[in-house]
Amino acid sequence: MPTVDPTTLLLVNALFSAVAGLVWAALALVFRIAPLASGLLAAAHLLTVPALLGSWCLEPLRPQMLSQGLTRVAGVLVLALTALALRRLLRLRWRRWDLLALAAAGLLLSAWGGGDSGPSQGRSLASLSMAALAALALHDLRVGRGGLPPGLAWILGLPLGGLLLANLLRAAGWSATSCATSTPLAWAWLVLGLSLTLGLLVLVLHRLVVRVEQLTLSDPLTGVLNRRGLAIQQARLQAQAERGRPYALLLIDLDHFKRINDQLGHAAGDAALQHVVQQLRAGLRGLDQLARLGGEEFCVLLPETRLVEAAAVAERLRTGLKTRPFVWLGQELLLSASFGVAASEVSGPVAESLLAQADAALYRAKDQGRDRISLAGAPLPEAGA
Amino acid sequence: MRAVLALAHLPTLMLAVVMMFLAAALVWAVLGRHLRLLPSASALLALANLLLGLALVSEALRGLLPHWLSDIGSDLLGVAGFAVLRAAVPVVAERPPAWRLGLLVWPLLPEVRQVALSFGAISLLMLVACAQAWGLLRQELRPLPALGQLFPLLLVTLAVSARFVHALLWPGLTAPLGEDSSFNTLWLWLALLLCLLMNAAMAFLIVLRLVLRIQRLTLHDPLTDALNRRAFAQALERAQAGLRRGRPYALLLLDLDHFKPLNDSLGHAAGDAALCAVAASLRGALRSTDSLGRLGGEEFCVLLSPVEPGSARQVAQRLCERLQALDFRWEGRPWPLSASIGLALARPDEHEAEAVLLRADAAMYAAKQAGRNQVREG
Repeated sequence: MPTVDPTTLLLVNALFSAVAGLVWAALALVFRIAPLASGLLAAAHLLTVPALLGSWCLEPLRPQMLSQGLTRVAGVLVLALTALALRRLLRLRWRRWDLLALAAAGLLLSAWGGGDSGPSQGRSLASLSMAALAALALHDLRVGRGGLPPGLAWILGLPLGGLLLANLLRAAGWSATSCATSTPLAWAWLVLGLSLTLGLLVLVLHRLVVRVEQLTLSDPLTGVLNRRGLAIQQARLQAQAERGRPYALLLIDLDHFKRINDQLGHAAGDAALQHVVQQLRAGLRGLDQLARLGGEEFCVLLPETRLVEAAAVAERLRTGLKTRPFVWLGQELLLSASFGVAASEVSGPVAESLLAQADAALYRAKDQGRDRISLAGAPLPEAGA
Repeated sequence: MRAVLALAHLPTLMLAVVMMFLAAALVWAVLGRHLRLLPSASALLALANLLLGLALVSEALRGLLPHWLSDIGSDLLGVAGFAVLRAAVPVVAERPPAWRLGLLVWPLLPEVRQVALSFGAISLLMLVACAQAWGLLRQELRPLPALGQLFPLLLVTLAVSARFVHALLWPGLTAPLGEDSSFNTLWLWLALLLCLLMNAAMAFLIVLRLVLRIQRLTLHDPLTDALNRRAFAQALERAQAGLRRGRPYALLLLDLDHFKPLNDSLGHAAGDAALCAVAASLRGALRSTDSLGRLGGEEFCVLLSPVEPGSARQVAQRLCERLQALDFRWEGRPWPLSASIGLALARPDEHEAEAVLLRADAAMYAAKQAGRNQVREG
């Protein structure tokens, strides 16, 4: 078996980083996908080339401190930029100063250390600051992994952990020579760099896919689920209902809504719908799902809820809506709604029929004079008002 | 440059290229399976990378493997990899995979190793793939951006064609890849670049698809594909700006008659189908400069721009008749459709599009009051 040549690995890594840098630049400039994060990553990948090749290409450069200093600066900057971009991509709070301060401190310390007591101490300090940057990125990933599929968190976490470990080892004096001569070091940088880059690309594509899904399943005006999104969520609850976990459904229709549209214009109607969504959301739990079926009709899915509890929720929403008027151009308008309530424990767990029964109940509520709730399958229609 | 090439260590380089292909295969597999990103296209791309990686492995092991196995590796697996890549191009645009050429070149490959022939087949496959990708891109983009999108794929085609020409002109020069020569080193560097470019090119095509879909979704109503309210408001503002430069426009508001009974008696699915049929019928009667929007519920709006008053009235009347003549059926049962239409011609002294919208709205109400299924002008 022939031995592996570290310089070749280094060159391969540099070529890969250069192409990856151009890909990120294209994502930022041509496709305008997460332009800031992609731009930061383009810079990080293009800087990787001097970080990798610096010590090798600039070796003849005198004094030696200069070539090593340049390599170190590039290395620390690469990690700082990558950590910033990751923070951006995970949609965490956009703080920059901790990362930038850490990078600057690392650079200053390593320059000072390098001048004072030889190159090895300077490199240790630079490696230490790179390890700290990797640790911060790992911390960000731990905080922001909520929205990611678990596999993706691992794909990103493993190379970051590897970078943390490799830099710590290097700070402790492992593989003191440059990566142009040390095979394990060249392998480590290639494998870690490659997997981190690919992981970040997967993260960006994941965000795009999620965006498309959100857009197809939500109502553009109010941001709540649209009818298609409701059908998917209801199918999920349906499956649970068949395993004995009941759920309830509220159908809500705003009373005399056409009047607002006609008298005050469509802009007022839109604002009123947004106001209603705000009020309804305030009265719901985190796991309840709110959907707009079109026009002025809304639907609420209440998991783990029986008919009596659902009726109480509907009553709370109805009074909540009435007590907080909608304000348009300084004019206060009282909105009210009629509610149809159906529950799987009474109606049986069939999606179509549950919706149809809530619809029938809603019609009854409208018939009896609006601004009230009506229960499906209840022997006596209950009056809410 | 020569110095850099000479520095490269051939077995290391080979190992690195194989690693790149396998890493790319892994990433495509993850994207397709776990993120559901165009699953079939991603699966084909994973397969293409895997085949090309294996082609290099069997070539690298020439001497250790039986001879015929290395031949299969270098030629057949390589051609198969590019055939799969070519098949994946239309799949990115959600069309069926294109296998025909990939299967046709098969019998052309002789049993003995012949570099020129296999690279000829690969070049042909890539040329056809480029041509098709160009056609698909041009449906969505103007020539210059489309060319930019195609650029990495063109580079790949150029690289494999160059190799084809080289093998044709200097057939004696190509030693098996495992042998250390500066030509082989150069070719392996090119293969590395080719792997990166090819995957970047396909990733760009997929990203473009997603971006276009997001654009569509933010501007269009997902059900009927008509403009949504926000996008229609923008179109209206543009028409208003055109009015100031002397291009008159007209606005039509259409409200479907007796739509709620349809929804209630036949169900929401029937209502949705009716809305789609209406949108398609309206779109068929409009010019490319006109816009069709859906304001929500059963209310549509049409912007005719630029238009003369006389022809605006004609169009409104024609739309009304078209809807009445529309043969809408749900589960075999016919259901008559019609609309009340309010027409407003923008006046040069009106500075706000909102005023035109209000007049059209009032006219639409007048049409409803007067018995529906007619056009009124406000």
